[in-house]
Amino acid sequence: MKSITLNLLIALVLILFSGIGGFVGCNQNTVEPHEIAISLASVPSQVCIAINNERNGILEQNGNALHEQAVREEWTSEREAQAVLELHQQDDILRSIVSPRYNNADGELVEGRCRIVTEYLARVAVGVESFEDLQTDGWERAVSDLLALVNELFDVLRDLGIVDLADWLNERVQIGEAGLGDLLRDVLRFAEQVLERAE
Amino acid sequence: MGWKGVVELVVMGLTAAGELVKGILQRTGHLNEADPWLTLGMVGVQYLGRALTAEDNDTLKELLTRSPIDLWAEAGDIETENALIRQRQLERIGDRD
Repeated sequence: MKSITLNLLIALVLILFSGIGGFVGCNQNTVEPHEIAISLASVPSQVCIAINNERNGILEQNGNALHEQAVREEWTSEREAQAVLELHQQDDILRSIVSPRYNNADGELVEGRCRIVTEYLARVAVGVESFEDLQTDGWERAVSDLLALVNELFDVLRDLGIVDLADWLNERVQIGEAGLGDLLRDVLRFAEQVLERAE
Repeated sequence: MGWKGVVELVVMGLTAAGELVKGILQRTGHLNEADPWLTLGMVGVQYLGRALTAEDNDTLKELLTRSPIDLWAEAGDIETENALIRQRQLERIGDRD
């Protein structure tokens, strides 16, 4: 008899938790799939734009550090010039990713890769009405391109002395009450989930 | 009816209520247990939805769902200043000599 009572109590507790979960789940579902999809494109855009806005500061800071080292260690002007040109090449690589629009080596006005990838993702996200709509090849390819680009961005910035991009962003950019770096981490986790499911 | 009967009735009532809520959610398209994308959707909601559903922060939701096309169109141009910084860095080497 005691075990029946215990089972009933456990069932009661489980049902109560389930009910609470149901309410919470219902509330969370007020987020539309379209909103999730567009934020997957919007957050990386804001990350790239924020990095581009800081690019000149990074270039100046690294250039000053390089010059001080050259003076301290009595480099030849040729060696310092070589090092400065390498720094400019690193900035060229960063620019090709995060700049909205720039003149490339051939003098052509082109858009940065982050802009191309995120705008494409945004166009795909326009038609998203359910999570099933995120199961298309076009969507998965766009998410895959985005992940590859962001990972490349992490590497390029590491070469420029920014070890952890997310922390660096959190210190500089807040969206509402959230750090942009934390939002980027959320986006990357979700993007990885999308691709894992696609496999 | 003793207290055990009352408990049983309550449990049955809650179970029925739970089924009713589940049925409503399925009917309205909020719950589809057969849909593998439900799990993925909930993962997305768990991460991004945490910010998107913040009741006291409509601004955050608005900013997170801004179109990248608008964002990029508004992004500032830093290339003129960038060229000047590069030029100064190269000239500084000549000054040292």
